[in-house]
Amino acid sequence: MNRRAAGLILYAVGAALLLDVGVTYARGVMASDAARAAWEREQAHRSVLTIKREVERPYARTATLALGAPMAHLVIPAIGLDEIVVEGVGEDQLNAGPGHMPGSALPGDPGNAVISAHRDRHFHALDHVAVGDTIITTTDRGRVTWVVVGRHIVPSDARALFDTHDATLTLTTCWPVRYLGPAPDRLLITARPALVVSRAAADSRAMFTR
Amino acid sequence: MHRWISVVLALGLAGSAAPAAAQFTAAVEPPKHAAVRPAPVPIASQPESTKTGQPPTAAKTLSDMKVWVDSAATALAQATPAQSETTATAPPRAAAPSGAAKPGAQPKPGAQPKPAAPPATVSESRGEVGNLRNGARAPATATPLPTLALLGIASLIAGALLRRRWS
Repeated sequence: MNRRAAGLILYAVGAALLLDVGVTYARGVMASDAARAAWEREQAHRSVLTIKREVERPYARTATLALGAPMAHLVIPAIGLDEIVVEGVGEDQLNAGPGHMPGSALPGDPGNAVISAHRDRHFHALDHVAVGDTIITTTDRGRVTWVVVGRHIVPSDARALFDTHDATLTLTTCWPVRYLGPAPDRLLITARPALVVSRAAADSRAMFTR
Repeated sequence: MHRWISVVLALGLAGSAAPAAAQFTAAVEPPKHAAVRPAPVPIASQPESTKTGQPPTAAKTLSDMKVWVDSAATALAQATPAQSETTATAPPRAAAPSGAAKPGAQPKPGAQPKPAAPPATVSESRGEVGNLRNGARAPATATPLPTLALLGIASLIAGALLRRRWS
């Protein structure tokens, strides 16, 4: 009888744990889909007036981004990553997608743009990104092609992020990527811009060649 | 009854194997992605049609649209001359990046490109950006989900073994 009860309890605990994991994962997928839909809707309804307003007040949008709002499109061809970056690095934001660290620069703007994601979800293949790989970010103000220039592994409590004068992109996730329990380190991928195309120029080209 | 539960769980796990794979990176090696690594080189020397991914012939189809777009683009270009043009840099050269940490760093041999020139309005507008706090820790991206998932599977297996022995 005791064994039967223990078996039932273990069944219930296991089912509850798997259900919790599944629900969390499903919520993340739905949030990710919602962020992508919002991003595409926003991009589709951009107008020349919007572009002009942003160009007249460059670097003004960072302070107005709401937590969870989609703010960039991130592509890493080497690992097949194609995600919408949301603002914020809280649990809800990281469940929805890679998160842009509030206060850091927008990708492509002068400064260090920091984007983080979970090692078991969106950045699960980040350890395969090598120096020389390309990263493409698209924001409201333009598309930037980055070249990975460094990989760093630092302790999780290391004060590892600094602002920069030039445009820099830093991707972070937990390290080791395949590790049970709280990962003790962080993987930092640093990239520098190789090609910057302003949004106005990109839109013009797209419309001209459409 | 418990056999029915086991079947449902097994079917559920099998059905969600692909999306759930990312949840089990602690235990299951994800598939290696095809090593399609485009050369990081740029692009300044490429024709415009290559950059936009469109065939060159498509550029000749909308002449009136071109006039309209050119007028809009010219107005925007005058507003921010430094941002309105494509900027390409030289191929990367080896060096450590300035945006990451020095302690414990393990830079791979690689390259650092010359960064693109910042816009002329940087110093005036930096105050609006809200600088990244220097010396910040990397965001906490640790998640207990893989551990919880493995614990759940282990509990189910242990429960099944106990019930089988009892019966």
